Amino acid sequence: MNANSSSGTGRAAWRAISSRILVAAVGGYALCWSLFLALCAWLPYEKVTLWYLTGQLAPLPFLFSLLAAFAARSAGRMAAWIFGLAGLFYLLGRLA
Amino acid sequence: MNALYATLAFLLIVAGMAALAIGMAQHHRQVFGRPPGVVQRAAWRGAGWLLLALALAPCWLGWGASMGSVLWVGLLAGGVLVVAGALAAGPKAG
Amino acid sequence: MNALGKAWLGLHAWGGMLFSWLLVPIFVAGSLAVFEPEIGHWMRPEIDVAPIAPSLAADLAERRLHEVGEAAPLWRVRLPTPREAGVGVSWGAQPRQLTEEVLAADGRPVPLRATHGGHFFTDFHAELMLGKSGRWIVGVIGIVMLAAIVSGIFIHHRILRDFFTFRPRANRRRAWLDAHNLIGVATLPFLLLITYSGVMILADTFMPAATQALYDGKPGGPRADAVKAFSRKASGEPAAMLPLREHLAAAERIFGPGKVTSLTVRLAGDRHALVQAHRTVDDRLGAVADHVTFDAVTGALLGQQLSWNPMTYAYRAQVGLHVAHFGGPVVRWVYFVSGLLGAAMMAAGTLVFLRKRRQRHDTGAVSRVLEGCGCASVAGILLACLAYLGSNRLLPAGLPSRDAWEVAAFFAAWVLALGHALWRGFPAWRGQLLLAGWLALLLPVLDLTTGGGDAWRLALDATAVVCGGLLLAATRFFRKESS
Repeated sequence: MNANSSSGTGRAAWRAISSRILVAAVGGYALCWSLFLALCAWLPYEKVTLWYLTGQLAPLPFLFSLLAAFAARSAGRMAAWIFGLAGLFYLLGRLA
Repeated sequence: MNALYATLAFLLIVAGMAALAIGMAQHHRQVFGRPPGVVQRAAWRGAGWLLLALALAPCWLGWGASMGSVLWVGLLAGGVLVVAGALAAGPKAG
Repeated sequence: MNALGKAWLGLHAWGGMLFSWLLVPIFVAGSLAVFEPEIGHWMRPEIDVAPIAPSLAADLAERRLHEVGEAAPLWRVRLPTPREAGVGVSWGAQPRQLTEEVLAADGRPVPLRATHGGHFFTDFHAELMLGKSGRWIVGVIGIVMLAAIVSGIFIHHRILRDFFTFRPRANRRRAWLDAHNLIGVATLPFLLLITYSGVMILADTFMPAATQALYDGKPGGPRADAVKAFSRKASGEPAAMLPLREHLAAAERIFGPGKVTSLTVRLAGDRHALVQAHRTVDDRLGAVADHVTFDAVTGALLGQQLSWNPMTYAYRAQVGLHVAHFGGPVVRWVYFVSGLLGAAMMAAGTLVFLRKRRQRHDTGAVSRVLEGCGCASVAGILLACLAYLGSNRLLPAGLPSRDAWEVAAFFAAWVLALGHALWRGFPAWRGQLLLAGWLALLLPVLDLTTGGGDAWRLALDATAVVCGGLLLAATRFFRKESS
């Protein structure tokens, strides 16, 4: 395991790590929120069904964002993907 | 009664996991001193899966299909650990 | 290792290790929380396990509530179960501000010591005693755990080809890595299920998007839609209610004998008074209690809920899979052991990480902090739990705000363990595990000398002895490293 990333890799590494964490956290929240908006707007179920359906999906967008943010070559590229997707869901939710 | 079902299920799972392990070349060598033939390998593995599947029966009898399946999955962990522990404690452990 | 595994190595190793400082305590507390009522019984040695038939329990509760709760509109009766002895009665004006008592078989209230009992572990597990902000913190930790599990599958995927690889006699780092992989793969379904459902439960707090979109942000909205309520306004005229045992009998005709766990009386003493009976959830996956409501004066059936919206049931089934109220003792033991194995898996991972740093002769201040916090999160949390149980018996029964002192003992022991670990470095692991093992072995002595010792409490004592023995056996693996 690369247990040495705390020492000797300098400020650039820290900045890279913290931007990945930021993308994962904010991106995950935005993705989850917008996905729920879109689902609530488009799925033809009653309110209570929708609430308990979305509730069960809640961990997935966060997990996806966190894993994606650390798998991507750069945090910026993944930020574009995640926030792009979140924006798309948000628009879908608004359209209904 | 349920304790009996659980014991039976656990024993079947341990037996099934042991058969699955013996179906692997490395552990077969450890237990019998030689690698398994193609037929033996398939037989051990088939027996292993069959025993694991059989263990579902007491779980379902005691707890019903939904709760019983959850219990079965939970007991699988114990089976893996018991067999791995036994293989590690036995002779010629790697 | 494949490309994804390589990319996630840092996340898995660093994220897993840093978050294990709270994940291990959360897993240990969660495992104990499976036995919340049993621990609560151990911590109230005043309570007897004498069995009380449900109809007698209803009579006793009713008599006591007429004595003390005449002015209160809300009454609650918890009937005795094979896990919780005595009859619980509570009364008051608001559901959240009830006065509580436990009645013995002779109907008299048992004078109880103030304690949070086993509920402390549930509270610590779910929200670290920090309320809503704690739920956010645990939610974040749970998401990192999920990511650590998924990335772990990619990093250690070789274990999937041979589940049974364990080489305890190989070099120490190899052995810890084998233990990490083996326990991880064996409990993988449990870990995924428990972590996913845990985050799902907490998402109710930290992700209110659907509540905003559907219910204008009203947090109680979804529940009010899912659970039918049969309520009505007070008439203002007093009226005598039918005996509780008759309502209980009527409820048992619907749910089956012995299936009613609690009775709730609303508008007690009014002509419009209601009695609601809740069914047990211990024989179904979904943590949803069927319920029925009667007119308290006439006994007429006012309404019942025996079926649920399928999506609500699916959600509550995940909650049920997390809290494990179903399936009886066998399922509880499977959860208890699996949870502790999860904690052990993380502890082994931490040891692999620390070992690697040591082999690089990286023994600076950062390493000291990592080793100290790791030790406090694994061995220290066990000492804290034992301090909590011990203080329950050692603090005087009449001490003011005694329940808070028990919690203080937990955190004081944890802080002391952390201080000791930071001061001593790696050898603290062995020392603290030894201490925890011996204290666990001594727990039955404490129990028997301070008024416990009935069959239920002896079961907890026996569990402590087994765990203590395992801890002492585990110290073997820390011996050489401590030099």
